[in-house]
Amino acid sequence: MNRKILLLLCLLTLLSVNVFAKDGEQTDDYLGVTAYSPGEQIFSLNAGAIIPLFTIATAAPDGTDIINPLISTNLGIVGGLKWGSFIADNFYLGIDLTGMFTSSSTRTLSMIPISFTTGYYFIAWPFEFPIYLNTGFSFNTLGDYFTITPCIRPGLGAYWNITEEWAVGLNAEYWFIPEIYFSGNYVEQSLIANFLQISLTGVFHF
Amino acid sequence: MKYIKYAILLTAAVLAFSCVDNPSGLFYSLQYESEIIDGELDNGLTIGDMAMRNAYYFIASGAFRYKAVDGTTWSVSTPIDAAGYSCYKLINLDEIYAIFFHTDTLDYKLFKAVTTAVSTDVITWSEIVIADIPTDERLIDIAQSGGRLFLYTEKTVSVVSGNDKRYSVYSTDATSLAAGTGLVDELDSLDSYGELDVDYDGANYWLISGNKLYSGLSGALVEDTAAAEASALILENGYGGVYCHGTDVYLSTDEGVLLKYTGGAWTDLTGAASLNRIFDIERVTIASESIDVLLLGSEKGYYELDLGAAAPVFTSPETADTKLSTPVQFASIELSNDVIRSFFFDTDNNRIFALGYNAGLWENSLQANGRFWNVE
Repeated sequence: MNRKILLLLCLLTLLSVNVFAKDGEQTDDYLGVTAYSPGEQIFSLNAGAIIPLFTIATAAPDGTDIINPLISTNLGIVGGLKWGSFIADNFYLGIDLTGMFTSSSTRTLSMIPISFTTGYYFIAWPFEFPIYLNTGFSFNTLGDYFTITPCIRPGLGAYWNITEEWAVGLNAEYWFIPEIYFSGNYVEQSLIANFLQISLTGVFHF
Repeated sequence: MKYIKYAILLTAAVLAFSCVDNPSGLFYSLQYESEIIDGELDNGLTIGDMAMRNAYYFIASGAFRYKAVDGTTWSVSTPIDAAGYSCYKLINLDEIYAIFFHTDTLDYKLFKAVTTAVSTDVITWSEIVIADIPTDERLIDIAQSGGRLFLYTEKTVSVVSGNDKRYSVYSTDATSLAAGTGLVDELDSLDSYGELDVDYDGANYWLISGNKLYSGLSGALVEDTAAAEASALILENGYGGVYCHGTDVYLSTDEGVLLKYTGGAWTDLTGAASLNRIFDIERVTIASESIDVLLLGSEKGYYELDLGAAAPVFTSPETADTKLSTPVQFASIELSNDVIRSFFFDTDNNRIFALGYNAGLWENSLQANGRFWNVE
C-alpha cells in the first residue's frame, strides 16, 4: 500500500512539473488542444465516497509502528463545490469547499476543508483530464473533539464533455491531513491522516 | 506581495483558533479508538439500582431485568400484581426486593423476588405489605446496608403554606421484612427530600436524606452536623452519597465536595479540584494490581481518586489516564457525557458497573492488560 501511495505522489509531482513548464505557452499540449483561455471559469460539484487509509505517526515513540491503518473508521461520504478561473491556458486558480462525513465505532468524524485550488487541464476532446491541488485548512470534528488542521489534497480527474458547457466524470483525490504538535503533551500524538476520495463530478464551463 | 501578507495573516488566525483543548490529538483518538462491546440493553435506560444474587445480575431499569453473570441476554420479569408499574429500586437482602411505582396513581408496591430457581428463568414474586407502616404514609424508596433494609415513606400534612410533605425512615431486617412487621422507627417527620443513601461502618449506620446526615445505631440515629460545619458546606441541593470502607466514611455533596471521616474529624478531599455535581461513591479494588480506587458518579461521567497515590487527586479520564480508562477511550464513549448516579461493584467477578441516568449500564472488567468500558 505504501509503495503505491509513494508512486502516486511521484506521478503527481512529475505532472505538476509539466503544468508549470507549460504555463504561459500557447501551443497544444501533448494530449490535446488548448481549450480554456484566461477569463473562462469553471464551477464543479462533487459527490462520492471517502476511504480511510492510514495514519503516519511523525513522532512515534521507539518501538511503535509509524504507519497504522485507520481500521476504526468506516467508509464515508464526501461532497464539495469548486470554482475556478483560468489565468493561463488550461491553468486555473480557485476556491474549493468540501465536506466529508464518516463514522468510527462510536463517533462521527467530519472534516470540512476550505482550500485554494489550482489545476491544469489536459484536453483530448471530448475528454479532459485535470490534475489539481487543493491546499487550505480543514475544520475537523470527532465527537466532542474539534480542531483545525492544514489540509493538502492533490487529485486528478477524467471528464467527458457531454456539451460545450457541461462535463461529467470521475475524480480521485488524496487527502493529507497533518495534525502536528510541536510542543506540549501531544507531541507523540502527532499524526498525518490519509484518506482517498473517489467521486463523481459535474463541471460547468462558462 | 499584498496577497501573501493576507495569506500569512489568515494562516496565523486559523492556527490560533485551532488551539482547541481536546483531551488528546483528534486523529490519535480516532486511530486508537477501541470498539466497545454494545450489548442488547437499551443504552437510553435509567438504571436505578443493581444487585447480584445466585450468579445473576438484577437491575431496576423501569422493568425488572436480570441476566446470568456470564450471559448476554437480559430478561424481564414482572409480578402479576405490578402490571403497569415500573421498577426503579431493588436490593439484595437474603432475597431480591424490588420497589415498583405506578406513574399515574403514584402508588408504590414492594415485592420479594425468590430467585433460587432463576437459572430456569423462573422468579417467584410475592408482594410484601408492611403492616407497621402507618396508613397515612406511603412507601417511596428503599436502601440497604449492614443487613438492614431502610424504608422511606411520605405523607401529606396540613400546613398553612409551604411544604406539606413529611418523610419518615424505618428499618427492618430480612426476617422481619419477610413477615412484613418489626419496623424500627429511625427518623420521623423530615421535611427534606433528596437522595436516600445509607451505609454501615461496622458499628454505626450513616444515612443521608436530602441535606441532612444522620449517624448512629439503628433506632438511635442522630443528625450529624459536624461534616457540614467542618467544611462550611453550602448544601443547596443536599448530599449526593455516603460510603463506608471499614471505619472510613466518605460523603459527597451535590455541589461537588467529597469529605472523609476517619473517626476524628471530617477532612475535605476535594482539594483544589473543581468537580461537577457528584453522587454515589464506590471503592473499587483492582485485585491484580492491589490498587484501590474511589469512584464518584457525576453529572458528566465519573471521577477517580487513586487511593494508593501519595497525594491522591481527583482525575477524570477525560483529561488523563486513570486506572479504569484513558482519554482516548473515554472521549469515544457516551459514558463521558452521561449522568452516572451510582455504581455496582461485583467483587466475585472483579467487575464494576456504572449505572447511567438515561444512559444505560456500563461495565468495566478491570482487566490487568487494559481496562475499558463496554455497555450492556
